[in-house]
Amino acid sequence: MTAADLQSRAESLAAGLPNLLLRAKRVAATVSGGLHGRRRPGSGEDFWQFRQSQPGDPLTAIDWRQSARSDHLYVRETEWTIARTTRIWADPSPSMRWRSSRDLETKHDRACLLAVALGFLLEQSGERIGLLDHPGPAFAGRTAPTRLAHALVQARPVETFPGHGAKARSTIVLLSDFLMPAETIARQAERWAAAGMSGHLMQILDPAEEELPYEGRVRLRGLEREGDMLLPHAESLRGDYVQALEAHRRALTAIARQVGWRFTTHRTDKPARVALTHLYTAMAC
Amino acid sequence: MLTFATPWLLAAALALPALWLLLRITPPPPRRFDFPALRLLLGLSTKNRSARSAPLWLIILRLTLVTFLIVGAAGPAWRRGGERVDGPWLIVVDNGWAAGKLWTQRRDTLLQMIRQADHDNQTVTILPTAAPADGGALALAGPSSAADARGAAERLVPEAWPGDRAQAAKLLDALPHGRAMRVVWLSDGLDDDGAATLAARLETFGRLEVMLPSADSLPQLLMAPTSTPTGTRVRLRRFGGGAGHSTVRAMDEQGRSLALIDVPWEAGARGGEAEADWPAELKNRVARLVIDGEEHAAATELLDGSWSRHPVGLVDDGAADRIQLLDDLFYGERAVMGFAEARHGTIDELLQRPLSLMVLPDHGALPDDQREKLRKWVEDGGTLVRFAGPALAGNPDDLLPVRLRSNERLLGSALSWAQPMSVAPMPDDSPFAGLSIPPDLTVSAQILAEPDLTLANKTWAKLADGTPLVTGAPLGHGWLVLIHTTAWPGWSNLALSGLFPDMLHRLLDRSIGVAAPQTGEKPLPLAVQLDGSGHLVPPSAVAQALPAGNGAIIPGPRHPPGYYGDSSARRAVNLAPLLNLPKTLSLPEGALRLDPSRAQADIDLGAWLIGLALLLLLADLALAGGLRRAALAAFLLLSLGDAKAADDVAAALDARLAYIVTGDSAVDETSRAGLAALSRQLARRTTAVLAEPAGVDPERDALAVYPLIYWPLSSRQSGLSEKAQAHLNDFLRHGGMLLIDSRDGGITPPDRLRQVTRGIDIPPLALVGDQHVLAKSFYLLHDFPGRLAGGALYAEEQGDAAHDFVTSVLIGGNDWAAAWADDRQGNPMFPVVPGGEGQRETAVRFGINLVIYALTGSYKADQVHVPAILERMHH
Repeated sequence: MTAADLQSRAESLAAGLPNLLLRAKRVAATVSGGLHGRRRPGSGEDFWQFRQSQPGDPLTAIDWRQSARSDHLYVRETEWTIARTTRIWADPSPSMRWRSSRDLETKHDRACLLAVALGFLLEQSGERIGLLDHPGPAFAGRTAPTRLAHALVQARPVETFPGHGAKARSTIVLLSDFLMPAETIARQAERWAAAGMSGHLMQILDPAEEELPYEGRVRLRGLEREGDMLLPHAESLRGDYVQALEAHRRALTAIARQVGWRFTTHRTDKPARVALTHLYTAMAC
Repeated sequence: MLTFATPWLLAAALALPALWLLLRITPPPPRRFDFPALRLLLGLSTKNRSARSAPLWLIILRLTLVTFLIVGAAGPAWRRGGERVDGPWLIVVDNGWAAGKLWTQRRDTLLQMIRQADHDNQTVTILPTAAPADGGALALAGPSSAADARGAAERLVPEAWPGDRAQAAKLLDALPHGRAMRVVWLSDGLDDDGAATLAARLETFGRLEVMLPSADSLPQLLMAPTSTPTGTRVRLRRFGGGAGHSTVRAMDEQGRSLALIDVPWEAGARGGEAEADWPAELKNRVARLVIDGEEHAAATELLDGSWSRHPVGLVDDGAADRIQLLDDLFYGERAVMGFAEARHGTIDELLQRPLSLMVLPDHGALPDDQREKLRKWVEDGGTLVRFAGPALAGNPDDLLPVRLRSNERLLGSALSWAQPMSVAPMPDDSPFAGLSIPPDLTVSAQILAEPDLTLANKTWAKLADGTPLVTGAPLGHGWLVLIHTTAWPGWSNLALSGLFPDMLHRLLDRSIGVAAPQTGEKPLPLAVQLDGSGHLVPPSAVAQALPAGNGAIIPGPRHPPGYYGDSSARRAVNLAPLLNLPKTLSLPEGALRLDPSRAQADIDLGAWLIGLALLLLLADLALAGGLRRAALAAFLLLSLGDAKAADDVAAALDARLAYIVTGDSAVDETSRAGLAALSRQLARRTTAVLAEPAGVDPERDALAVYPLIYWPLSSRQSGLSEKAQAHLNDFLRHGGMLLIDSRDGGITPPDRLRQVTRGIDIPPLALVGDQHVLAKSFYLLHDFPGRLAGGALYAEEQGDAAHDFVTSVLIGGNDWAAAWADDRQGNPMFPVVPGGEGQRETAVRFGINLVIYALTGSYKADQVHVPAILERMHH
């Protein structure tokens, strides 16, 4: 998927979601960040107050219309706002770049799509977005989703969690299949939570990974050097497998709850809109 | 009945049970998948997961597949027709004249039988019944392997003479009696003395099967035509058959059709005739009659002078005192000499034998009985040419085209006002139209006609003042012609001029010919002969001259039917009159009738079985390996079959010349080497870089990718198939160029050319001169020699405007490829005659001009105007 392709698909996905919801929630929860007025003068766009000019104020800062009404010169002050930064991680590991059937997209493609769509929504709300595994400052402004898409497409397949963290108090969104051992995930989550980040885990799986649809004699090969495994009679293992997957998910949910994050799941054969709505509401809280 | 070509291969079927066991105990190979969530699986135990064996239906599918392969490889064939003797083959093939009709069918049947023998691994002996054209004796071909027999069968052609079955029966003595043989006689359906002997002899070798053509497909014979006063009566013979009709085609010397004569047949009738009603001029041009659709020697009637000769009678009044240069008859006799037979005599003497034209010089009054005889002869079709003179002026009679004034008219004399008169140009509707008048021709005396309304119509030539010089009028079937001046130079110098013999020849051409046998005075060598298909071909080396005299001729390799002698004395020997008309052959006692129309072919099941096995293999792959692998396999299979398309694509990638593969390996190799050498010369001398030439089969290959196709004619080539014709026509219509080379300096008879190029749209052609674009497209050329020089080159008379007036067809015979061909080291392969290396260089230049012309079209036609432009600039 090219960056342009990704962007156009994400745009159409994001266009369907009202960003009013998030804005309304955000106004109610100013403390938790976002493009939030700090109720004191500072850099921002919204009007805060007029004050008389003092020596040292630049001439350009004077509001001439207001000053004309009286004998004093007034300076227009705006409310100080800060933007919340959201950092997204679309897991680029080889296992994410897999699909069980030609009709589906790979898990990584789906993760990228969700990341950019989220980027659009956040950008519309004036927030800054960035990639967890992308060094440098977060993107802001109209071009942010585009740059996000480019960065995503250029991501190299890496099997580990990104090393450099985000700044404290930012939000992180982790889009992965989370098929690594639960302990690894727990360790990393604790580290991030300790740094003051709030976060969201979304497990994206292929339907074949949920259902193990193979029959007869099959040899399965892992994508991240797990080796391979011969199943003489694949269908007889299906029940056990589904249980193992359930157990893994329970472990993940537990980890998320422990650090105060949220954990949701998503399948690549389901519409991306559903996952986006999930993410969106989760972030608005 | 099912037979196998290699039955021992069936033993491989014994391995099938082993295969069954093997398939049962070996589990199918695991299918492989990538699976990211493998870590979750790793912890699970795999107890109670025994290997699954291949499902039963898969085993059955595979066993069927292998069975089909084994049986298919053993070469099964379904043989129709129940029991057959299984033994060596003895095939007697009638290849006398009567076999020419339907020869292709006969040969196909023969090849079919050889294929069957090949399948059964039997030897084949072929016995033709007609003496071969090379003068050798009749011989058995074989017993030999089927492959050798196929070669012999393909070389077998119908001959233009009857077969000798008695002689063939004798040859069978040499054949050992061993096992029972399959004895087949592909007969021509006609009986003769030797037929019974041959049949009896054949039956000693085994059960005889005879192929007898149906009554309708027996040959028809064209007998010698007879002349009637108004035309010609053609006579046909046949051997029974239903009602219908045949068409006799009259052709001229060049093989152009002049007329078609429809001959109706009544049911069961053995003879048919029809009368062609045609004018004498047309009749005199007929050189050959052919029955359409009958391809054998007895369906062609070659005509020579004896069919339609034009003897001229010169009426001699018997006067003794003749002074040569003043004689009435001297000039007339000299005029017809070498052109027609001239006889002297009195009217009575002359009329005793058939005459075409009688010259009657100035003669006094004719006795009544002679006049009546003459009138009757003219009414029956004779042409009487009279000359004026003092005697006629005195007492004109009624055997004249016009009424005469009783006095002669003198010009240039002391009493005359007028000077000797010249002759006016010939009127367009006169028999003399187009003859040029010598400027010094004058007439000083003539006899005038009484003017009347019909005089203008009867005037064939007139003087400058409009008075008649020659008048002519029909009488009965014949003509009365009067030349209004003397037959000797007394009144005019007409008799001394070149116009005089020309006029007499024109009159002779109009006269009705007389059938008269020609007497052989000297031995005549063979000039052209008829082949077994009824076409004229160059004479064979073993043919002997026709002996003098009228002895009986036995047609055979020594005396094939055809034209003997040269242009001065030519005699046609036709086959049909020399045959004692045979009867139809009835089935010999105890013999089986082989139906030629019903296919005797074995049905080859092997290919079907193997095809079926491949389909099963595809199904297996689809089930076991996924659709994609099956699709790949199907694609590979299909691409094997479509290798030809790949060739066409390869041909299209580079510009290259092409030649038509004739099947004659020497000719094809020469074409290839010639075009390759020409391509190299082009690369060296011009900017045209061509790839290696390609040999094409017009039936199969895509021709559109070649700018120029060279077509050498080989003697073994017959006409093209309909598909090939359609392909070539399509190629020519869409701007392709075809160079047809008869490789013999242009002496191939037009007939043969027409036969080979049958079905190809060849536009009207014209000679290529040095004003043609071909002569200046690269080099400036004046002639176009190849290995031979002097043969004419023909191109389309008016090119098609849609193709920029570029000719589509070039026809010549200079054997160009042989002049171009070299052995890659640059050494020429063939000597060129007569010009040596200079001529070869011109030949190469012609080749370069030709290719440049084919590639660039006619833009060099502007070169024609260069002299004019230069001249204008000069002023």
